[in-house]
Amino acid sequence: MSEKTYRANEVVSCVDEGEDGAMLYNPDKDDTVLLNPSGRSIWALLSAPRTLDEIARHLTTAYPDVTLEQARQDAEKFIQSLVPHFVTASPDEH
Amino acid sequence: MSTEPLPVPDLTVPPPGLPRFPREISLCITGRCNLKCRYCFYADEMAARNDLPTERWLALFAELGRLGVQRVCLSGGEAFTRKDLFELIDGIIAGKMRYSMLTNGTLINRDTLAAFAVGKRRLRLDSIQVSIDGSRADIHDQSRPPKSFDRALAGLRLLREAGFPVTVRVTVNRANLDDLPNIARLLLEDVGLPSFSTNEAETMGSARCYGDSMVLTPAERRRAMEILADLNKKYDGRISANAGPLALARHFAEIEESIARGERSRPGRGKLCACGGVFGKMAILHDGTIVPCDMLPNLTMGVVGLHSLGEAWRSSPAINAVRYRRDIPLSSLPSCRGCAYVGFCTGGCPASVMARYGKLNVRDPLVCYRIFKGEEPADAV
Repeated sequence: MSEKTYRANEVVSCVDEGEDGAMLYNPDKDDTVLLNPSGRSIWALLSAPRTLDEIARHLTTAYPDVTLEQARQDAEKFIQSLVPHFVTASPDEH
Repeated sequence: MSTEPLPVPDLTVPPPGLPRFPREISLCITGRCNLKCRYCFYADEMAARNDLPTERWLALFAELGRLGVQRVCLSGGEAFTRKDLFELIDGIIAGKMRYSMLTNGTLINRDTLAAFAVGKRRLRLDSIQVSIDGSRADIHDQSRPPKSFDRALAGLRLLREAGFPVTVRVTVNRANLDDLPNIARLLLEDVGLPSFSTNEAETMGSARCYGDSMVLTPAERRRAMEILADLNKKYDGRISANAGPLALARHFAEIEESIARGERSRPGRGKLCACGGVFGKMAILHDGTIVPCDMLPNLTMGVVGLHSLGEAWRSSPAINAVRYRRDIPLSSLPSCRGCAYVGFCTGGCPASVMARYGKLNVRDPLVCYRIFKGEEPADAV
């Protein structure tokens, strides 16, 4: 079975908020979330389907002090906070 | 060169903490209307301006979405007179926004409901507000001619029965003052709305011509306050108001309670700070003029297609002049000097005073507690 992938929900808008990061808005659910700058960089990655490992590797590149294991845990926590309103999982987990 | 601070703010610089762009925008998508309401603030010279064409609106919606606007409020004129209305709504949806509507209700029929069922038009609709000004045709139609009551009520009932997020606004005026209990019964008991909101006719737009028959006298406003406060008790707070007699009744009651507790002021009062809207919203008129509020149509911030929306939001002196009112102490105004109640007051709506006096930095006598108490003549400015 193929590994689960995640990508930005296409209905969600992302507006840059400068040093604060970015604001995501899902108009179907009328839900917003503020991303910090590292969250914003992960969001940019999610324009295409990504596995948690791919996201974790991106984090270790951006933050070399973080171990791959820690990055994977952080990526999973981050993604789970955004599913399903802001990020869709494939195969669908909801 | 002097290093003394200037006595006036630099109106090209926004106040600290202003959002990068508003999350909400009011859009008057047409200047046309099928009614001739006698207190319409959008009538008068507005009808002579042309509507932006469909493609201009669609380009604007795409830009608003990119700038982070989350919801727009569509009004006019009468929004349902636009033949391309649902094309515009689809543009709002494509722009990743939600929307609400203000309507007279008379053009809503089963075909309209069917059109809302397409795609995400219904999902993205926050609310649709219908104006009802009487419990009977002969009262409603005095302020909202020609003969609109039956069609407006039919539209309201259709929306309600189909489960739309429908709300009602009652604009209190001289013609419906004595009918308010019947209107409340119609809306809350017969139609079965959970609530409705109220306001009052003001001397702006078409009320400049019909004001004598529409705008409440001070004595009538006092009665309206009493009637609405009593009705709101009877209906367990199901009548709301951000302005008008009911809001005023609440405001004056708060002042009296504060005075009874021995207070001389309340936090956030004592300045011309009534309007918070300009810190989170702005409006675009049907011809593309960008303004702080659709009730301030002559404070031009820019024009869609000619000027940057973000620049207009941050740096336009027209909107910053309204924002910086909050720094003006009421005690510095000649009309308020020596008033014992300035510490409880916010000076009233900037659009009301602009319409009445052509000035922003004056207090609105309609919300003046000293005048209400009879300690100052009612015609004082």
